[in-house]
Amino acid sequence: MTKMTSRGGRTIAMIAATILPLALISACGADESDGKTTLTVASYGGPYQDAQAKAFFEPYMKANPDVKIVQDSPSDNAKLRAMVDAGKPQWDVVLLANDFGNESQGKWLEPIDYDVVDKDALLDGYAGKYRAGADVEGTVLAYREDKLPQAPSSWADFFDTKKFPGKRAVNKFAAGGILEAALLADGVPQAELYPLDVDRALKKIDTIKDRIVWWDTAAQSQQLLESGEVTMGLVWVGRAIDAGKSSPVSVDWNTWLSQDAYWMVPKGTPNAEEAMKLIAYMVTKDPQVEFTQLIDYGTVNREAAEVESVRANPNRPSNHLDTQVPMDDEWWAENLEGVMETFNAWVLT
Amino acid sequence: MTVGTAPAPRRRGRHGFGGGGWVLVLPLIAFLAVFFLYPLVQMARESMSGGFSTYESIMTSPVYRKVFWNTLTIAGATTAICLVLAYPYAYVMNRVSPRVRLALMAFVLLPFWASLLVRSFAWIALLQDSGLVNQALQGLGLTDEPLSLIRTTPGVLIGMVHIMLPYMVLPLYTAMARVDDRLLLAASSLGATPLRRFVRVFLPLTLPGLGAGCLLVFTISLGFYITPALLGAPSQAMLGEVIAEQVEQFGLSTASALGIVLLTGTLLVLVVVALFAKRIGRSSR
Repeated sequence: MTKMTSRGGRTIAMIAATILPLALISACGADESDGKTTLTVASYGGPYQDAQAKAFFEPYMKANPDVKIVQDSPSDNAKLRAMVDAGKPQWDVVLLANDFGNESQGKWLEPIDYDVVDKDALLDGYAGKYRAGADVEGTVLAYREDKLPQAPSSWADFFDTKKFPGKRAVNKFAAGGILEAALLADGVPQAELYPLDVDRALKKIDTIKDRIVWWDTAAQSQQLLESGEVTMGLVWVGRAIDAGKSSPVSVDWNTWLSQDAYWMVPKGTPNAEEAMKLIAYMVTKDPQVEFTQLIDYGTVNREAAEVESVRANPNRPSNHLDTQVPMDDEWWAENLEGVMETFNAWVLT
Repeated sequence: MTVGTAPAPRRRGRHGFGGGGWVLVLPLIAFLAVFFLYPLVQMARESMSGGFSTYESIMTSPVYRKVFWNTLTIAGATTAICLVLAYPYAYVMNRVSPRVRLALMAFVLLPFWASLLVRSFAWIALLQDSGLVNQALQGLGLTDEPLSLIRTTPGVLIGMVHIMLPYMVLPLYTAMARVDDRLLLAASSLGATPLRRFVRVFLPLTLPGLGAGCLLVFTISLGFYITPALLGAPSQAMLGEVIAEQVEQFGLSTASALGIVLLTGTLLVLVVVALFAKRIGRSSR
């Protein structure tokens, strides 16, 4: 019996000896141990975030030795909300898409400090109250040159399976652009797109529903285009261009919808001031030009958009802003849930 | 501590542990309690966050009714096809030389060792409109238009049957191996035709394996997610896919309720089968 207790006591002591230093390490490892501010930045990950690290984070750290940037990925709307609701955001700067950072979502975000961030440097529409543009992407109409009699040039062509035979790849997501595409194809003028007439849009999509191949992940959309499984697709521009590298896939720049990335600052982060400074740097001309040299996305900086090396790429979204159909992010933020329910039920039947 | 040294006063079976045996099951029970039971209770609570209204909307929605129906029929069809394919296969496995048996076993188990995701993607490469099968069919001039082998119910069934076959073959093989050949000889010597011998002797003796196989395949199929998502179309989505979509797009409430419904349904199937098996067991005694 005595042996048992002594053995048990030793075990506990051992556990304590293991745990205590761990707890100490994690307690002091958190922030400013050496006078440095640690900024945790969350983005989408992959080659995209690598480009951001190279164009934004690394030069910023070099210029500001007192700031240390720690990267996290992937960013996520729900995770951000949960962090802020719990009162302890671990992220200081977050990159998210159009469906977050709208004015109705202000309770989770710090307003962008436009005394620090240069509002005029940003393209129109990319300086929101709670978000500053990170880059210009797009949902584009991509097509197989070799499998269609001619190149499509309008939204109506996407829905014309007689003139343009074959299947269509479409994102299985209500706010993925297909509703807008359907209404524009059905003759709704761009200025009157919102509020979306969801029933009318679904009726239009019904005409090609049996020709649609729904994609869930971007990789799938690229594979569908590369294999020739579909002759047209409503896909993200990065994937369309990647598919074009290995197969005859082109983008019709008459038909594309806005799809962007934005920087935001979670409400309640103790480093909000430093976070604004980082954002201010990231939207300036030079880092923006550098970013476009690493990846095919468009720039949000007015001056950078005019630089020759940026203009040279025919597939850069920011070179086609005149034909962009801007999605009404605010409308989507308010109506997403209801439209999603209708859309998901329609897809399942 | 006294295991094996002093004889226990009352032995339970051959491996009496005395009073301390329960300690051995404690780690697993603790694991299940923390990582299964607790989350399950949380999930049930989550599903009730709006009272019964979530369940009510699920039960009254024609969309969910269709999804439940899809799930049941696809799981049922997968089970039936697996049974039809596996029964003769397991039979042959029992009748061949050990070397051939090993080869047949490897055939069943080989796909078992490859990742489910890889296999589903491989089926896409094979079955899609521009895939190998359609290229071959068109090359041979058998069809002009590619056949819709993917994003259809047959596509889902091909993928699911492929994945589930080992779960059917193995219990059947084991059950058949246990059948005493002398019983079959006796039946023949008493004048039974091969068909009668099969129906009255062999089939009843392999019923436990058949039941176990069907139960495994059916219950696992009910929760399938990746394969139908990759090889099927949304119009015949299974419950697992809809749950995933709910979690991603709407949060946990409806998803939890759907999960509870799936769990309850699966348990119901188990109870019905258990009662049925008991009755068969009693009547054959």
